[in-house]
Amino acid sequence: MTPLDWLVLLGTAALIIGRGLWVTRRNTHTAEAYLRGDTSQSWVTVGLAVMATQASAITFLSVPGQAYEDGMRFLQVYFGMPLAMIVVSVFLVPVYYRLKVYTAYEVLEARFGVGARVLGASLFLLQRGLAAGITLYAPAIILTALLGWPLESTVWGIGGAVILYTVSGGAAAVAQTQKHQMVVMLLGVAVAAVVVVWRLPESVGVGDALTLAGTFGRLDAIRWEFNLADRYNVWSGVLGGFFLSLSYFGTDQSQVGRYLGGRSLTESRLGLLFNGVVKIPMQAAILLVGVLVFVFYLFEPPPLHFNQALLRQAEATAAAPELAGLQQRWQDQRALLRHDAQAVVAAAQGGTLAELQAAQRQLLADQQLAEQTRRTAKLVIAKALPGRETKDSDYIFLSFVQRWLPPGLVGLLVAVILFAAMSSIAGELSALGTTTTLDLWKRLRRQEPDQRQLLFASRAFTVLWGGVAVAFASVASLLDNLIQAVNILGSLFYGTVLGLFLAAFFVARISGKAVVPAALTAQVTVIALYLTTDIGFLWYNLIGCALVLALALLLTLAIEPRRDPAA
Amino acid sequence: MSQPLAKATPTDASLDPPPLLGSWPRVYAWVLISQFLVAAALWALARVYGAPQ
Repeated sequence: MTPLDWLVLLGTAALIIGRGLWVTRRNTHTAEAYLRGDTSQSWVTVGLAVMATQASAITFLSVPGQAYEDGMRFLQVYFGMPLAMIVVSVFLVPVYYRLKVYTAYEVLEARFGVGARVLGASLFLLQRGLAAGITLYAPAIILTALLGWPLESTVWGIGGAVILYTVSGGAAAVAQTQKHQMVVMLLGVAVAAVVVVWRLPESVGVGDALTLAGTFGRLDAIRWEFNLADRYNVWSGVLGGFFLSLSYFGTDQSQVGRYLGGRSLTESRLGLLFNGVVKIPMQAAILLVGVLVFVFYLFEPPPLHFNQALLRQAEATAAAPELAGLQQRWQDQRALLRHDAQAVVAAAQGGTLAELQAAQRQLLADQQLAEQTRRTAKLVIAKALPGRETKDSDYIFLSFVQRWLPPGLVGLLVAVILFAAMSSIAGELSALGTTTTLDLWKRLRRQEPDQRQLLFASRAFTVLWGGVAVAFASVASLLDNLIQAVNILGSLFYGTVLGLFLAAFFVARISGKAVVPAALTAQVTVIALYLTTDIGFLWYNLIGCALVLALALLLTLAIEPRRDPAA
Repeated sequence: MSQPLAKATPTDASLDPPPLLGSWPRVYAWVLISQFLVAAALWALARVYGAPQ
């Protein structure tokens, strides 16, 4: 990065964090203000904070890489979200407001007793505590590999800054910083889209780029085939995605905490619905940037492996001659692909349909050969460096940014990734601290704490969870694809938590005595299914939820049979 | 221990959407319609620039 990039990165970060702390400096004198914010936020702040909490760095690193390799079908994960936002707005948010809760899990106590509240809060803490570590680790490892930053310092730098402003300014500072961080993120996506189109050869227009992307099926965002093992199709997206979103936005404190800071029920609802409208187009835009990067690399040869640091390490082993041969083959194949792509563009601009189809078939055939070379290179690297992760899709986008964006904009895009990481971690830490304080520490101790004790405990637990996240990030190893790892982790627990909430809100017959054992059994079953079957992860949201409801109902009928009114 | 939850009252004035948006059911309908339009646009994009058969 150039000095200009550093200026953009550090200047934007200092401005946003400084402003967030300044405008919320009076909001942390009481525990209530610290935990819930000043409850004066407009729907714009609520909406952007909700969006920023969900959009982690993984969104900006993995999603374009996923589109580069697999096209736009990942978008289907979000198809259930708009409907879920409506359900949350209609049924859950009004009850949270009416009961004046700080955390979602208080509702479980109001309905079922303290056991259900502690269970719901504990499941949240377990999965969100782990997820916070991954949220921090994911960008750190990639920034380390591509920009040469030391891993430990990067983890501590991001984690330390987030802990500082979350602990100093509480929920209000989190929302204020998230609002501006999200604006920078949206700006960054727009800039990346413009630059990638600008970097295409002069003879290639946007329509030609889309024709090239379409040749590889990269624009197919919707798949209709029903397949339980397929992670992304319209059915798993609408059904599984609906339950995932319902659980995430309706019961996950990192989101509930965001919209309970709204000025009124209306502002909170509008903030959520804003996300229901904007999320799919925004994700589509990010995926499209990844697809355009793929098209761009048809004309400019991409590296044989996007994790260049790993490739260099492998080249320093006995595998060097084999890798040199693959590099040579790769260069030749990419030259051929460039020629093929130009032929497709020429046919699209002035040829017949038959000529276009013939050129597209040639391009596809040559691309398959080049892909084979890339796969072989990964195998060679894996053999040369046993135990190292050779999947490089998470490195594609930042590697493009680093190589092809002008000075200043590289700093902006790195800021986007750092802000995305910080905004989601801040939301998570704030929620983890609040839930631990209120649902466990305050609820389970004998004496009611005073305001000072409550404020101190909230800050202490936030720092503690920040420390856990930093420690976890420092020892984590790269998992499959990062975004999937977080989603899978969430999906294993979300179904059970959602089951608890749906039972509380909608099934009056279920008793408090039945719901806790039912939820525990459902959770164990979901984990067992995950370990022994290959069901697509989105389905676990539905399975876990259905199991809780069914088991709780059966157990209620067994232990509390309906009394005959005539008896 | 099991208790029914407090119900939100739909007549509560704070539940009204801003006048510009009309009623809540209309707001919800537009949220869904907008997403169908987005999905249709993406489907059309893939059809227009689709792969060779």
